[in-house]
Amino acid sequence: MLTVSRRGFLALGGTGAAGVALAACGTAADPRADASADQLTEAEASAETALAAAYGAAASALAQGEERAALEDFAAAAAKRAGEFGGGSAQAGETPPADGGPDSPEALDGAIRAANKAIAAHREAAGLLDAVDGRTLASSSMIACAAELAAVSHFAGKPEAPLAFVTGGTEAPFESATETEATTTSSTSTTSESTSTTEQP
Amino acid sequence: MSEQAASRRETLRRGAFAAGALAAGGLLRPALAAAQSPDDEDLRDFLVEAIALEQVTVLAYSTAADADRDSRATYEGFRDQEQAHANALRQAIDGLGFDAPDAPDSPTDTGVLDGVDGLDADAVKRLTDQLDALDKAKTPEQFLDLLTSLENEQLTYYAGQGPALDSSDLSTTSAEIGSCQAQHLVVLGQQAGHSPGAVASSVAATAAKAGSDTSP
Repeated sequence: MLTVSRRGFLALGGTGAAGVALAACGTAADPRADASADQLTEAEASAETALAAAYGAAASALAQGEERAALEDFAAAAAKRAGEFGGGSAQAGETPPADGGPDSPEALDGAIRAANKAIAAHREAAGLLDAVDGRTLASSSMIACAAELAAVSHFAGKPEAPLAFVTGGTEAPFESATETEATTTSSTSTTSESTSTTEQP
Repeated sequence: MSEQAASRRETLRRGAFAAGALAAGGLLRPALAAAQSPDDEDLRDFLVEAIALEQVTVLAYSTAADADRDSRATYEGFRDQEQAHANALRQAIDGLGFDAPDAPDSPTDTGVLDGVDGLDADAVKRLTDQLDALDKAKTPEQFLDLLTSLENEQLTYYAGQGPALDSSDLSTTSAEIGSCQAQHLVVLGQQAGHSPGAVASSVAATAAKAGSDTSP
């Protein structure tokens, strides 16, 4: 029997608490009709611009090598994505300071935070933009950021894929599912994911 | 479209699906099943193939975990994440009043793919081929190749099909799951000897291509 867990309810309520509120009142407006495409796209552009700066800072903090080369590639990719969304301005605090910048752990943490912010911005646009091509670009950009985040997490010695649902935000729409349907031949029949937050560490 | 079907679809489309619409859907299912609309079938078709793919991948990770002790912990963790995806998607299709495909209990259990409403012949063949490859896999390298193939198929599916859905919640969830598959691929790529940076860039290119191939 399929066990209906709270995770499942909320996993598909992309708006989390907002979705609950909408259902409770029963007068939900169409979120796509009400969303501002300009605001959503601008947020994506700004987040990607900040991400490019954060990757650049992290690359500068590392010695020459494979990791630095990867971060430089990621910075170029993020800048390209920012351009696809119409450009954007770097957010305060994301630009490397003039004193030589952060050390490498700090710089990698900064890149992880910036990647999560970009994922959150793309996630919102992937659901709410009215135009399919806008949602397509948001979705593929989100996936690109998630892959980069996994690589940067690896560089930082952190888990690459800790969450079943990647959201990039601090909102916690999913709760640990401890009861799931046993659908495999494995002796393990429960979902062991134990995350309580949706922001990848 | 009947009034009931229109109302249920609006609930899903408007993002009100989260808070109890599923429970209500379960209670009303016999009546709603009779009132399913052609528009609902678009969402059903997406969900049926996604669920089938997730469930085949769960089985593949379980089998690989038993066969490759060095990768067992990683594979079991990823299997649980795939199962979480399948569970969430199954609840969505149940809320629409359609049947989800059963999960295969072995690589030879291809009968679960037969006669599933919304699962087209091409999808059945691809999934059957993946199960056949799973049945034949013996070495860690063969399992790794198969898991990489399944993850790439999922990534392409979510990046290509999710954005066009007439449901903001399902489009969002599709992007969340596709992002998880992207992270799995970065890990699997490292196991195959590739650098994480190179794999991440390759994954990004795959997602972009999937989107452009299906974009209107």
